[in-house]
Amino acid sequence: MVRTEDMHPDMAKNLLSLPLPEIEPQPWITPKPLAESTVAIVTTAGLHAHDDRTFNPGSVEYRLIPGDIDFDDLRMSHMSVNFDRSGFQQDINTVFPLERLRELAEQGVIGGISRYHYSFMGAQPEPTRLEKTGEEIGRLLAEDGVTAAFLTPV
Amino acid sequence: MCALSHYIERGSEGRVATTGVSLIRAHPEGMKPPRSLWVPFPLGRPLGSPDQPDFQRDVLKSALDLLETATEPTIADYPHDAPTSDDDPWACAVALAPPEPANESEALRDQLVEEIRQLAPWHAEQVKRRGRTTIGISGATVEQIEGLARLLADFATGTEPSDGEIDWKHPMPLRLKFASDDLRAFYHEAATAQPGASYPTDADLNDWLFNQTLLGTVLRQIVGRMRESDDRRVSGLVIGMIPAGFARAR
Repeated sequence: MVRTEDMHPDMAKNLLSLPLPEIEPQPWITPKPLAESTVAIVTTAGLHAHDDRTFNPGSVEYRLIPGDIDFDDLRMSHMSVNFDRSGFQQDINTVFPLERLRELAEQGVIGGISRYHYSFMGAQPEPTRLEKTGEEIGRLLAEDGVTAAFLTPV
Repeated sequence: MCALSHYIERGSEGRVATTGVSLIRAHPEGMKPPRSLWVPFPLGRPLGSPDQPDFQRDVLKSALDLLETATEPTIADYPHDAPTSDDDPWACAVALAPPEPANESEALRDQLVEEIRQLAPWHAEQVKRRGRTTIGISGATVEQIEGLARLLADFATGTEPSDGEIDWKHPMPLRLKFASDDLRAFYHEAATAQPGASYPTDADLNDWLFNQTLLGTVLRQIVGRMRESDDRRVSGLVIGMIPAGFARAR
C-alpha cells in the first residue's frame, strides 16, 4: 500500500503542495450505459509515439495516440523522475491499459473503443494552463463519437 | 488530471463523460472531478502491477462503473492493494562492482561502457522476451546506447561535449535529461530481465542504480555540476535527473 505518508518526505511535500484551483463544475452529464459507451483513454503519463515530439518542461500540449498503435512504438518522456517507470517498462498496460480496454469491448462490457487516445504530461504546477488543450480534446472526442473518457495519471 | 476532467467535459458540451483513476486522494478531494477512483498504488502504476491483466481489468472496470453509479461528484476508494511477489527481496543478479570513477572523460566513458556491456546480454534478452524497449527519447537507438555514456562522461568531467553518431532530439541541457532517462531505462530493462526471486519495486531499482552502479555515481556528479551552473536552464533541470531521496549515496 502506498500513500503520501509512505513516500519520501520531499516527494510527498511536492505532491501535496501542488495548487488545486477551483474550477467551476459543469452541468452533470448522465452517461450512456457502459455497454453502449465508446471509451477513450486520456493519460498524463507523457506518452507518445516514438517519432512524435517528446514533452519538454512546462508543456501543456497533447500527443495523439492512435488506437491501433503498436506498444513497441510507445515512449514516455515525462519530466518528473519521481514515479515508478519499471511497471511501464515491463507492461505498458500498467500505465496505458489499452489491451484491457480491448478485452472489455470484446466481452461487451463497453460498447466500443475510440479510434484515438490522448496524452499529456502531468505534475503541472499550474493545472489551469491545461484549459485550452483540455477543452480541445473534449471537442475532438465528442466529434469522433466518443461518449466516455477514462483519465489516468502516472 | 482532475483539471482535465473538467475541461474535457466542458469542451465536449455535455457529450463526453469522464471517469478516472487518482493516485493522490487529496487531488480529487480538492478539485472535485465528476468521477474518480482512488487507488492505493505506487506512483507510476495507476493500474496496479505489471503482467497482472485480471487485476488491471478490475481497476479499469471499477473506474468505468462510476459512469453508471455516480450521480454527483464522487470519489470511490479501490479496496485492494496492488499484487506483489511473496518471494525473497529482489537483488540484481549481476554483481557490477563499480570502480572509483575516473577524472578524465575518455577513461570515465570506458568505465561506463564496460558496465553497460555487462548488462547488455540481459537487455537483449529483455527485448527478445517482451518484443520491445522503451529506450529512444534522447534520439539514441539501443545499438547506440554506449554513445550516451560519452555524453555523460563529458559533462561529468567538465569536458566539452564531443560529436557522436547519435541524432539527438534535443539541444543541451535537455539532452542530458533524456540521455539520462534512456540510460536508466536500459539499466532497468536489463535488471528486470534477469531470473530473480521477485520483480523489483521502484525503490529496489533506484537503490540498486544509485548505490550499486557506476552510472548512479556519475549521475550524482552530473547533478552536482548542474546545481552549480549559473544557467537556470541547467540548474532547473536537476529535479528531472535523480528521484527524491537518491541525490546522496547511501
